[in-house]
Amino acid sequence: MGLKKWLTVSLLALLSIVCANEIVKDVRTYLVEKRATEATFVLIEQWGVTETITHPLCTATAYEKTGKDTYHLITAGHCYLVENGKFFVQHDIGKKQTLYPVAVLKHEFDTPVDFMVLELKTNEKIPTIPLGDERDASLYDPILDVNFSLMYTKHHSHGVIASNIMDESSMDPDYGDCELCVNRYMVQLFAGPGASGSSVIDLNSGKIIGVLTGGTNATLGAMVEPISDFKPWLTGKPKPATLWSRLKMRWKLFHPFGSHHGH
Amino acid sequence: MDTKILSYFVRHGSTALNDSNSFRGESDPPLDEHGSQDAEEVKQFLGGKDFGEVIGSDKLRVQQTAGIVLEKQHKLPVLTPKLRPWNVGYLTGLSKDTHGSEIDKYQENPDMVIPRGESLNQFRGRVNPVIKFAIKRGFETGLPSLVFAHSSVIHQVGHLLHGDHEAGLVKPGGVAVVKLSKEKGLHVEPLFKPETKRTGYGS
Repeated sequence: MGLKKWLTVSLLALLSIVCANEIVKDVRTYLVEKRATEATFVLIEQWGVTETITHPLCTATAYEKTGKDTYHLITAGHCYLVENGKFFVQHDIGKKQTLYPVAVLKHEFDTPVDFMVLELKTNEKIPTIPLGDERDASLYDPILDVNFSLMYTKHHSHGVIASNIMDESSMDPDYGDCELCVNRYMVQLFAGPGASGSSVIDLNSGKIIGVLTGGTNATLGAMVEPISDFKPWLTGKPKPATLWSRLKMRWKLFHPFGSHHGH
Repeated sequence: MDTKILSYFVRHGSTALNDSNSFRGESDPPLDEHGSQDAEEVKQFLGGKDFGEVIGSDKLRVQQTAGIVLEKQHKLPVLTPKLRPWNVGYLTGLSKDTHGSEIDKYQENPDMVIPRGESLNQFRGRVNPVIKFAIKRGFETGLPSLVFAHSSVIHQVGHLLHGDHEAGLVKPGGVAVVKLSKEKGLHVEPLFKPETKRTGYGS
């Protein structure tokens, strides 16, 4: 085979690999989007005895199936700030949607963590998005957040991990005390009231790596509670380090963006 | 966790109906001279503070109060009819001295609808989501929300958080604050011009 022909074949092979990789990525993203859409619910509060009033509060995501007809959903703890009413979830905002009652299993917001676990019982089949670990992701990694920002219908927001995990010194004191940002990382995607509690999904792994907890009004920057902060609360014990995870952490020490893991 | 201030609830300044001790309800009187002064005092009191969400009832007296308080903040409140006062129907404009027992009856029977008005529970169902929204956004944005409203709405904040509608009462032009602390949890307290006498929802 002549050099010219060999170069052409090699180039074509390389292009095929690149194209195939892009197609795999697109298919994977599509599948994650589809699952995330079906796993995401709007959290509704119901008031009233003689007259029923429903009020959408936050976003919740199914993350595990715990029994034949039982699912666990994750959302933000502060969605339960004022303890009144009964909680339900709906697939989407709208009066024709079915209200599914949910029980509050765990609920924290006045500790450094801000999360809530709900239990949903239904014989409907619901896909789940598993809990991952933000330490497996890096700055600028692509993410997906399905939410109900501004109380609009369910919508997707694509973005990136935009900051390292922050501490008290991460904000200029002339502008505030960073109360909102301590131990949170920032993402860049559209979020507004109603998006709280929504899951930040790492598109590379297809797993939940954080829960959206706040931000100033409807902007492109939102604060995220790292999933590893409250994962131990859910499983009862922190995930033990494996040889593989230790190797990964070692690699990340040399990775230019690996330092965004503040703990 | 230190104490976090999540929301300020400002009661509008006084109107001619305040002075005559009548039920205001759905009526829409403007601030009187004292009312403008009340608003100026709130502006002084809140001066220099930064706010996240700013929300208000769409009644004229509330808009006027908010206009004065926010004069130097370059902010406008989002106005909503959901924050209007308890619609006391036929009692609107009548004297509390002569009709006080009637409003007590509707307060003791919260599902009883006032003719041409609403029941106390209908009012609660209307304002509770807005009150919760303000408190929740104070938590989410890291900046306290500022709510311009009526006495009956501040009554409802106390009822919602403590089951005691008098927990955060303030006089016209007063300010109640919702805080979150380790010791007391989520609670409301009068901050500026606290009301010293017991009053009902319809005041």
